[in-house]
Amino acid sequence: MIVVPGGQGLITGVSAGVGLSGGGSEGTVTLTLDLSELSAVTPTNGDSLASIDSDGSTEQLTTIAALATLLAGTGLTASSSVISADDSTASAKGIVIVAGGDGIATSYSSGTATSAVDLGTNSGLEISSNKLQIAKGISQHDVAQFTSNVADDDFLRVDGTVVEGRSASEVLSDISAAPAAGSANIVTTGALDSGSITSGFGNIDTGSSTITTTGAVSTGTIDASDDVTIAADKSLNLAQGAHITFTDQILDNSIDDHDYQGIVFTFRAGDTVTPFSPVYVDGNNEVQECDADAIATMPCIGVSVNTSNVSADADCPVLMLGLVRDDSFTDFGAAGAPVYVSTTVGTMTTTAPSGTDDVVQVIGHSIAEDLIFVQPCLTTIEHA
Amino acid sequence: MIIMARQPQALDYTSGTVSDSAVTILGMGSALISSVPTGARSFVGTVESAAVRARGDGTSPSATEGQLIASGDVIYLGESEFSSMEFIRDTSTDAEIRGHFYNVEVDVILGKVT
Repeated sequence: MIVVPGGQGLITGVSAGVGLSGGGSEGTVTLTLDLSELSAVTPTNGDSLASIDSDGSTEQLTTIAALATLLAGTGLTASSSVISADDSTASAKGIVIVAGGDGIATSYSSGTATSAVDLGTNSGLEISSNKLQIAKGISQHDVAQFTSNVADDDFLRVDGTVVEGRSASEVLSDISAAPAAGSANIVTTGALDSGSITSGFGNIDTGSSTITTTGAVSTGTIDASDDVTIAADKSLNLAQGAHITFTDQILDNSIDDHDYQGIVFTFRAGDTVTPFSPVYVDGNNEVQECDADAIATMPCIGVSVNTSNVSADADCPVLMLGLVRDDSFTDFGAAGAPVYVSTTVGTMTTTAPSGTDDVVQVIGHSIAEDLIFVQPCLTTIEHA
Repeated sequence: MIIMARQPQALDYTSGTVSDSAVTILGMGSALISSVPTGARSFVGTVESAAVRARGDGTSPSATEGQLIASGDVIYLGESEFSSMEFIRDTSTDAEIRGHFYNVEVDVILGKVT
């Protein structure tokens, strides 16, 4: 039995079709693949290619679209037989599209992307020997900009390797410079060594600091909120028509308890002096409490204004002329009544002493029950 | 010398079904011819519908043993094979064999002898 596949009949010849060469009409014939016979065409989507599978056993037809999909790896996308870069995954691997950002220009040539710094025209910067350097000075278009440490209207100061902003006042302090005329405030810890403070300058407030001068101070009214001290051997000179005036009106409460107002001399205590007691000058030029019982402990020159006992040899302030108030006084209720040295040591009374050898001396007048105007009369009367 | 080529001439036509039992072309189911036409020297037929297996060594073919002949293939049988070549279907689908008996030998038909 002879079997002819496909029902073909007797082969009388083999002809080489398109893409094949060889063949014949008798004997053993050979057909050879001859691609030169194929027409040259531009492949399009939908075309197919002949291929053989991986183990070489099966010839197969492969579409160009399928081949493109196979070849499109990471970063590539095949669509209708066209392979293109996938921008969304370009950063992963594969083809990368290089785009120029601000100040960067990118060009392509023969598949190579070249990125270069685009300094623009008339730039103040240039690249020289791979270094970015200033090509020009700072001009109208080249303003230094800082993002930190610098505020609006600041001046710049180099602190080590850092540029920092300094305010106008800080700059004045930094350079120890005199402030410009018209400045609202002068804040300095240094000395004002020269120049002058002219009329209309305004107030000077030194806080708790002092103002020291060896020259004269010419001024209008002086309002002192503390003691005024005049150095030794210096005078408070009052020119013609000048005077010392105690301005507050004298009333029964014009000064506070234990206050005094007037002229006070500081004596040396010859013995203990109790507060607000009349005193006399003893043989040692020291003051002691008066006693109207005997002329030896008189006359009174003033009233001590110490608020606590003054020990012997200590300073003892004595009011020679003026007001003194002590709410413990009880004998001076009759306003305007003369006040005498009492026969009780260190006390005063509105009753004139009348005993033998008692000394009568008016040392002031009552303003109120606890307020006396001290003005000792040095003329005394001694009872026989 | 004058060579006279013998011209093939169809003597008769037959067709039949090859099922799951081995049969000759004369024993096919519903065979049109059950005996060899007078003067027949060869048979040329076509297998249709399904593949068959054939065996001519005296042992009947089975669904798994025998020469596989695909549907559409053409078979050439010599005179001695009319009753010795047996066929059986290869799958569960019955096949048909349709063809003619000729008055010349197979090699004449195939053009090998003039």
